[in-house]
Amino acid sequence: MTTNRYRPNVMIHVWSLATVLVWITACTQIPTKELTQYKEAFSQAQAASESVLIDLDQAKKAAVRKRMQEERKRAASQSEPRLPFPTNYAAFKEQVAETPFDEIEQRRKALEVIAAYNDVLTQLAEGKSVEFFGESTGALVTTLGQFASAAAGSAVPGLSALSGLATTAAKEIEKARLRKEFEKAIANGAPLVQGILQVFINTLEAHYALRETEARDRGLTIVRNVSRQVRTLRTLTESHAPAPPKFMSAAKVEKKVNNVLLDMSGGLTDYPYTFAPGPATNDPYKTLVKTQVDSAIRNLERLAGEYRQNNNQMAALGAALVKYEALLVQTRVALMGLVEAMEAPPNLPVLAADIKALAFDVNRNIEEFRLAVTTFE
Amino acid sequence: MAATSRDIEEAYDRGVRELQKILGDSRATDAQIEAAEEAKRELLALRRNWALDKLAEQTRALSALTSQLAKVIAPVEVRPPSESVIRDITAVVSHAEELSQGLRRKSGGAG
Repeated sequence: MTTNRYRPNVMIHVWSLATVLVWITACTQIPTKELTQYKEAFSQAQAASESVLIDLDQAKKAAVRKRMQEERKRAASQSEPRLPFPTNYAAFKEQVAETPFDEIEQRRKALEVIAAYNDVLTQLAEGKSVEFFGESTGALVTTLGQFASAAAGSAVPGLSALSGLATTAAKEIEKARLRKEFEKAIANGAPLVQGILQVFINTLEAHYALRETEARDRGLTIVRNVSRQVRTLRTLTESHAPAPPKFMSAAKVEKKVNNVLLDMSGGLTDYPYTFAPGPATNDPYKTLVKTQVDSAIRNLERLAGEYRQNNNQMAALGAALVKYEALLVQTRVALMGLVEAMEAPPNLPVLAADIKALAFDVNRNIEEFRLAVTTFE
Repeated sequence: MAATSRDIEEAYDRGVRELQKILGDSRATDAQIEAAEEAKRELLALRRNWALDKLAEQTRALSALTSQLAKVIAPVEVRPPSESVIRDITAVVSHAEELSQGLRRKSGGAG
């Protein structure tokens, strides 16, 4: 009697659950391949960011120092006497206040928050809660059945089938919940991550400008010093009688100088230079003059080397920034792929280049840049 | 119309080329070189300050985006909210089952 009373109800539950299961399973897919690809792209971009940020930090500090030096110089040149400390508290506070935003720390923090966001997406995609949730539901159904058996005094038929199905249903329901959470996290978070990555891309312009300004300053100083040395050499050769055969003639000096400065020729207005000896009636070309000429040529060789290093340094930094930008763009593309995969059937976006190789190149270029700085200094 | 980044870049580029012409001329006079040096300092300072301001402006935008993203992460429920409810129900039903079995044993024993 009791058995017959339970059977139809249990069967209804079993069929209802089975129907719900089919529907739920159809919409519980999280695009894990796209997620993995996006995470991999971000992880490479984050790794490359460290060396780029260190360089940005150094460039920024150097620029701030230079600005302060110039402000001090300007203040010193003003006729108004400069007070050693301000007359009011507000002005003092403004003077000692640190930059309201530490650019580098804010950027590191942004990357950490994206990494935390990615961890949340990973946890939702891994769905570890599904197993636990499923087991606990199965246990609940079994316990309910046992309670019913204990209360009614006889076993509930089909209980194990119902328990198994409930476990599966609970798992699917949890998967659906995770998918919903994932969807929400993507909808609310992806545009922000895209925005953050775009700021990183936009920063490259200022980063390049800071380093370019430094390198330009050095480059123009080198060019000015080269012009000065050339002028000295010209004066030396023209103001003396032709060099005796044991010393370098003006023609040889000309050849040597133009050869030494060949790489810089684009930046030198009156290159190639001409050097002519003065008339024989001028002061004789003695050892002292020869020493001065040799010294000027050595200086030109050194300056040409510095000019080359300065250019190489900028080329290395520029290359690093270009590759770093490519990494950031690829991370954005991968994230777009993930967003699209949430809306459409899986369609893996094809990333143009090997992101790991790109990340390696960024670090190598920055290293080349640092090396150039070291040898230059 | 306000100058765009591109206008600034182009003006800077032209300025640098002019400076290079003077500083790279071995026949330039001392006065020309001095004037060029002064112009160089000003031009580079303008560019440097532009870059520093740009960096600070972007950092403010970045800070706002980072805070918003942190707010997106906070409420995400990685673990199901009903997990504790199920645990509680299981415990209650288990207890009820034990009580029920106890009662049956008692009534069986009495009958």
